[in-house]
Amino acid sequence: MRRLVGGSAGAVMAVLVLAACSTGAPSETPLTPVKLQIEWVPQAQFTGFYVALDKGYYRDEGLDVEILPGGPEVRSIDQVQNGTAQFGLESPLGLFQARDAGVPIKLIGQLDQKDGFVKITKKESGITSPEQFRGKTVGVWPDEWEFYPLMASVDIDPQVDLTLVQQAFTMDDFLNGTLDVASATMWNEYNVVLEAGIPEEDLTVFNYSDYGFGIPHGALLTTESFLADNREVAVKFMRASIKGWLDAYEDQKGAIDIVMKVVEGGTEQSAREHQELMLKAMETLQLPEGFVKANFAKPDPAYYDTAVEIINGYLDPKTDLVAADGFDASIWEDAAKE
Amino acid sequence: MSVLTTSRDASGSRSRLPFGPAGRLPILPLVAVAVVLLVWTLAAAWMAGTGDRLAATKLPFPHAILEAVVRSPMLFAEAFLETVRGALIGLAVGLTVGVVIGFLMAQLRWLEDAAYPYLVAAQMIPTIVLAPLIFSAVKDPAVTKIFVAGYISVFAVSLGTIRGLRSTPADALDLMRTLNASRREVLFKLEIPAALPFFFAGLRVAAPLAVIGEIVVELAGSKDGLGTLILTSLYYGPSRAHVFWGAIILTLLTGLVFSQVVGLIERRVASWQPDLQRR
Repeated sequence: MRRLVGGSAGAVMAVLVLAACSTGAPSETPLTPVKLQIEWVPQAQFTGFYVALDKGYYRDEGLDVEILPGGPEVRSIDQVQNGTAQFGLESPLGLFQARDAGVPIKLIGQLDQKDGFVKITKKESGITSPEQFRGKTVGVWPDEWEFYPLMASVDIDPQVDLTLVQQAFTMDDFLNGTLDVASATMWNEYNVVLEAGIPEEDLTVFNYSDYGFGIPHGALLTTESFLADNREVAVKFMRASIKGWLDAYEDQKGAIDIVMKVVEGGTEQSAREHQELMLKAMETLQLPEGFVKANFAKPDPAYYDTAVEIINGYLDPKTDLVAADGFDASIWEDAAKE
Repeated sequence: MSVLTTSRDASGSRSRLPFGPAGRLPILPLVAVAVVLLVWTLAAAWMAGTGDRLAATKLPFPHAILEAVVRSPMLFAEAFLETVRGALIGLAVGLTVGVVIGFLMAQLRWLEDAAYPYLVAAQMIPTIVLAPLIFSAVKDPAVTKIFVAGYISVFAVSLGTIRGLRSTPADALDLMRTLNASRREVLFKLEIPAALPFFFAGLRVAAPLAVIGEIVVELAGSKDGLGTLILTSLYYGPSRAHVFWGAIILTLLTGLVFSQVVGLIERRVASWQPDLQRR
């Protein structure tokens, strides 16, 4: 008799517990933790990701995203390769060269559609074309792969025909005249130079794209193994990120409010203005004139064909690279369909 | 109570100069600071007069730096706290490990002979190289900071500990033995107190070094901290020059504060030292 009562009590308990679970008593499915390694310090260059985080777009997709700050010693590809981050941002030129070195990463999104790296010089230097870099003091960044093909195309050997300087991340050497030609990004250093008091009319800007060597930066990448096991996560991350970015461009003021919370810049107006200019610059690169908004972050095979041509032709890869192996546009396609 | 005796200064009394002990205004240091600020301001005015676009980066006005700090107090406060937090934890770890290493090496001659060269050589790894190496192994920026700060402090502390434990005065040791003191009593009543001056000397060196270690890691890319503030203010250009200098000065002050705090602790714990009595 006792056993019967005990047994049925147990059965009732079990039914009640099951019922409670299925009626959605406060039990949440845990969010999938995901880390994004951004290319540099937290700033408006990465606005869309911060907006997606702040407004809960990642949470809506079941993701608990952490955005890891970058810096001079932080390499996105290393971070993704060693598992610290699941997603990273890098230039396709860097990505394909890493693949050449055996790193199994794949490009799944393309934030920028135009190359924002440029070379600048003061008009008074008299330099009006890349041929005239010969004999000058030229700064270059470690990840500015576009530079070498450009120089090769005008028959200049940067190690011999000019004074090549590894440029730090400040524009001081350009401002004080040490560098005749300096590297700059349209989203930061160009504005830094303007803010330092050099008027726009006094500057000459060389766009890599004008010479056929412009490869847009801001490629979103992940490892092949992560993609194989977690394709859905990648699609969700992409979807929420796109939403965050488009939202940011829709309401730039609100977006910068969010970004200012992560920028190490202080609350001064000048710091905020710099970030606003940065976001505007990103807009010209990510949604250039004539670009269809629905294609935001779409990987374009043409870029990667060009990137691989440049690397095979000028940057001395170990083997002949194949563009199609390096990117997977299907994640974007799945993310972009509503 | 320590076996070591205290001794008074020959004059037997406190100093009579205006920069006297607590309770009197330290006039000379204040005057020194005022003079430094004056010379600095004049130099900055000269620099500004040259019209150099980078004048503020090279030689800013001290009051402009103060202005920048006061205008963004939370920015500097958060950066300061993050750096202090990391440096303190790193120092605590380095301190513990350093004392253990020092103690073992002091007790075991053969260990000291074998390990000493490695101890010295390991210090030679430049921090700038160490930080990315540790980071790629550990993968967590917060842990990297603590590890690097700890790594740097271990050496000064362990060397100070070894030296200290070996500095026991022979006659005091003989006295203890005559009184049939146990090993434990000798250790706690003689050797450790005798070691304290050297230990604190090592700690006084290690403390600001831990701050530097923390800053170096932050300079490589981190979320918060004075090093990150230095990085971003350089990156955003000459318009941020005063924030840059504010962060640098705050870094100097942090190192100084760490060093002074160690000194204060030393005063409390080992106040019997002759040269702590003279002032």
